[in-house]
Amino acid sequence: MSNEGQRILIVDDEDCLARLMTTLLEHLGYTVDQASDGEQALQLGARHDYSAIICDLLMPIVNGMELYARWQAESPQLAERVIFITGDSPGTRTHEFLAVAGRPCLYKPFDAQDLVVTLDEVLGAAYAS
Amino acid sequence: MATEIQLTQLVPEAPPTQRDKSSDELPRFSYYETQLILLVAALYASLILMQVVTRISYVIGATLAAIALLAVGFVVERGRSNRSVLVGSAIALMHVAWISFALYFTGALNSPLLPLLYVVVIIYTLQRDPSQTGLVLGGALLALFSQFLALGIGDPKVLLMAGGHAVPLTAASWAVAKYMGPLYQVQEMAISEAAEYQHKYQVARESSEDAVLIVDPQWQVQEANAAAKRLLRNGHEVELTGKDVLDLLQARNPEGMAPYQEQVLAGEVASQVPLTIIGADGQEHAVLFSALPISEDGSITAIQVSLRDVSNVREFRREIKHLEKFAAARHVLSGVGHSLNNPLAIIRLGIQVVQTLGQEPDQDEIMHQVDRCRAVLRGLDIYTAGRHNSSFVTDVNEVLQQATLLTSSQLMMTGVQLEVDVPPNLPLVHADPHSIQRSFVNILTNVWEAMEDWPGPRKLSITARPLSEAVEICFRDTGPGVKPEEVAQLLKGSYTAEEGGMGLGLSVVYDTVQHAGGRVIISPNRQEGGTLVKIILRSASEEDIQQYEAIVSGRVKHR
Repeated sequence: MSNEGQRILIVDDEDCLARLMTTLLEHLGYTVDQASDGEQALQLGARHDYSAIICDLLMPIVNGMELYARWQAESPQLAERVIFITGDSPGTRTHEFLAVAGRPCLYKPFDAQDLVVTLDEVLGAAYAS
Repeated sequence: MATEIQLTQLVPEAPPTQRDKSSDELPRFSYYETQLILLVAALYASLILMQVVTRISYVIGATLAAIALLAVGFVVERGRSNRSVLVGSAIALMHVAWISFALYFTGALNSPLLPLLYVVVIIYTLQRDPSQTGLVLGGALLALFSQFLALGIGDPKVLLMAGGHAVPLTAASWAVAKYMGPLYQVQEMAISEAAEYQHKYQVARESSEDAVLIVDPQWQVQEANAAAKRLLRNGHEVELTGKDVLDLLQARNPEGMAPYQEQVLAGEVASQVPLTIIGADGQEHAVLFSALPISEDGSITAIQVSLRDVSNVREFRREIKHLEKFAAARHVLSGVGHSLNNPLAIIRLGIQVVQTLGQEPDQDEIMHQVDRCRAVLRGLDIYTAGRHNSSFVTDVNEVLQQATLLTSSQLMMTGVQLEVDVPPNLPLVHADPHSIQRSFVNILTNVWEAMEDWPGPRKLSITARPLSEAVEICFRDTGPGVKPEEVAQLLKGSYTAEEGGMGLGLSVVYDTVQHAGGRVIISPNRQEGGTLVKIILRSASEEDIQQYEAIVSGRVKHR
């Protein structure tokens, strides 16, 4: 499956990490947009039908959980394509949310390989549906 | 009897009173019986009146009859004992003697039906209470004797009449006793209840966890409960009674007691004065001293002194503080994890990306991320250092930065918007950085905890400015605020907000800042809403700074 034409949104306030992920995914042929907080992501989500969204949980203004809740209510197709990333350790409060949301999550520091595999899974699911 | 049995059951160990005994001996007549006896007495009185109308000399007898009835009533009302009946009978006999004396001179006759009625009353009374046989018959015999003295032996009519005179008055006294019975019972009940309450008070006092002592106005112990004996006697056979309570307490600050002593002797209550005393076990006890003056007719006759041993409560609070610190440490560690994972993720992914792309790694970026990790770990180091390993000079900028770093993930998770406006070159302050950093972490933790379920705006602004020989740091939030009356509790560490809010953390802040010679000012409800915590710390002295610089440059090894 070619990655050409697949548009990915990366939402993370850690600019350096977001740029690294962008570089990697663009290298793999994806088109990538970046948002540094949930507010920007909502605006971009309204303009593009992203194939997958890589979203940090902890962000200023509108955090990952609030963003997900908004999409669930307004654009459920986007909510179903979210991959969360978090710097939290397992066992903290964010995990109660993740358990309920049922979306895949990558724990920082994650491998490039893990990111690619998870992205493929989400894209495969979206493609199958 | 039923009422008394019930009371006795209620007060199994109540001290017996003189009245209990007499009331046991007092037989109970029903309402109708009482009415019947009263009717007999009334009939008798009416006969006397008839005689008064016919023979003026009978006025003496009638007056005595009235006095007799009143006297009986009086004695019964006093409720002393069945002696009332005896006294009533004696008075009746005197009356009969006088009547007889009067008859001797006038020769007046009583109704022939009256003796029959007297016999009925005698039988009835004896049936009700055979224990009084001696009294009734004795009275009758004495009456006869007095009649014989007055009229001479030989006339059976006189005999019947004399005996009969004694009995209805006896019956009348019974009747009055019974009539007064309900009042008597009420009085008895009141006395029993008083005894019951006294007993209950004694039980409560004895079983109280507080040490309770009754002392006289010279503060000499009169009574002491079990807890007082435990605290002040510790199992030794030392007599507390008669000892000066203030000597017994061995309060660390006996001179400090004087105002309270005066206050109590002036009739006021001393309530929960914190004292440290030496118990009989030789240990220090933190107690709350209370004294209640007991007055009688306007003068103080005794003082109830109570001592609540709060040593365990303090221990409990220490434990709570420990748990609170543990919880705070858990939050901090979680924040540390988050703060480390981000730069680590950048380093790891960065290396993998440059490998994949075949590029040169950005060494400056890697160093920058390593520095981020180092700053977090330095903050953690100070957080966990403990006061004894710490310095006495604090760089407010540095510890503030560390504190925000350690709590950044929680603040962000709660959606608290952080605004920091701190000038870069604030003077160093005289305080231990570890404690100050902890204090800042506590304040920040309180803020995000208070904001967790807060529907309003979530902002925290941190500002700092140099003052003359001091530095002022302000934390202003837009959270729910604190009730003004809860501020004192909050600083004491005894306060826990119902839903999140400021917990024990601020007491640590207060202690720390006080220890450093600074001040904490809390404005619980700012006009704009939320809480303002203002901390003023003294600037470090030249000497402090020289020592600090020596430590920093490694010339002097700080212990």
